[in-house]
Amino acid sequence: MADSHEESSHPTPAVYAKIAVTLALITAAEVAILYIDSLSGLIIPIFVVMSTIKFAMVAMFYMHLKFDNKLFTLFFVSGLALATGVIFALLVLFGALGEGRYGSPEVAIAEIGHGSDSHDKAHDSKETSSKSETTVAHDTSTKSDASVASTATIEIGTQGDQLLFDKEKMSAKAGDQITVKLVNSAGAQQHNWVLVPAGAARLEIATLGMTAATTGWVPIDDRVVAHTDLINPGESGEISFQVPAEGAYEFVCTFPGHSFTMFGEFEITQ
Amino acid sequence: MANITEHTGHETTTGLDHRKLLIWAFLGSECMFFGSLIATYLVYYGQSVSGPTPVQVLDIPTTSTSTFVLLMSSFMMVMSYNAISKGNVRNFRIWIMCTAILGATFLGFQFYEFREFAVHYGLTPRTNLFGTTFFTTTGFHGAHVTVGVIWLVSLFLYSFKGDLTKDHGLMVDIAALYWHFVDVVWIVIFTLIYLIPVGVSGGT
Repeated sequence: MADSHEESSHPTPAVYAKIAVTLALITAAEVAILYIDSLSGLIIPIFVVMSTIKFAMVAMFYMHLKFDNKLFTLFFVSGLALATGVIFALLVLFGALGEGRYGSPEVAIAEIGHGSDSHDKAHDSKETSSKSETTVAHDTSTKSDASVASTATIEIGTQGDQLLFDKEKMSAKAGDQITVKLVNSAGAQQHNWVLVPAGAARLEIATLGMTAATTGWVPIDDRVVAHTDLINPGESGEISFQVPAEGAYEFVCTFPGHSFTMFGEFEITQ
Repeated sequence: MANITEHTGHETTTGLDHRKLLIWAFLGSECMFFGSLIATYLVYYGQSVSGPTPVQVLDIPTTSTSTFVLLMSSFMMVMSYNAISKGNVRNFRIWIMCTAILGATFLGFQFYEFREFAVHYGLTPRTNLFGTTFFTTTGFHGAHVTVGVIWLVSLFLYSFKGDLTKDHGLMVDIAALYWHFVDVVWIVIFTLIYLIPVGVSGGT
């Protein structure tokens, strides 16, 4: 009962108003920061610090924890600490703090994006990793004979049981008749190789494929240029087709869930 | 606080009113409640097997405005508590009604946002993991704001009975603590669900 000084030490309306202005300014600054590209690498720590300041100001002054009995603070902070612990524990347990998740969602998000913008981003990040690129070798002698189509076989494999193709880019000449051989080196996963228009179509076709169990997860869709059968682990399969004359294409594995990591660019050279 | 305790007549070993201790214990447990919802959202972040994705649908300018509205409602709330603790019932009514109106405005923004997601992007709680976790987390927050608005309006109406005087500041204090809590939860949600995903992916 000896806390009668507390009431009088509560902040004045002027202090409350200053805090309100500060809260508004911090929020405005947060939004402004979103538009500053150069800060993008620091964006998580910046936002965490700014929102912590806002949180603390409201709790200390508006909820007057700063002036009240410390037991209230203990009750609240205990719950808050437990909640924060639960969040971190769950993130660690589910591996959500790893690379390609919250830290760099362009990998996780851009690859399932519809927009061409996010699509390009996915490729930018892929292009930086050094991987092999296969170009079909052409025999110039076959070109002179128009009646005999040029044929070549491109082989593509998988990276063991990782949900990745061993190539991020393939290329072939426009109009050529080629054969793509998929070598499934996985120990447990089934895969296929499906050639589709680049960008949004890849996601859409992969999504449609999720309900196409009877056709090897390849949907009946006019946009599918060519596809192998569903290849069992340790086996391989081929598909021969004519390379389209032009356009942006990508290859993808349409087995449900694989399309987010198993895809790559199919370049058409002239 | 001491005079409030005296007037309500509770003798407690801590010298603190039980009701005030109760609201703080409740708010501590509410931290856990929202913590688990936010953790679930983050765990499933980027795990949706189909679109739409957060960056495609989140509308930062609109949500920043509603965030501003909620922050300002906290200011109104603290002014209303300040008025009642000085015995100024008239100002109390004005401020608490402003708080309730801003709270309702926030809910209006949220209704608009949810509707926009559903109608324009086809994003519902059933669409993908993002939809499920997003609507659950922000929906529960919206439900808390709704309860808060009802609470504030009740206090406003109660004040006309003439029983809400300087000595009953604790009634307002408890409602205010709840209201500010709803505000700080939104500060966290706005940062983790809106700002960081859009910021990291350069979505603006």
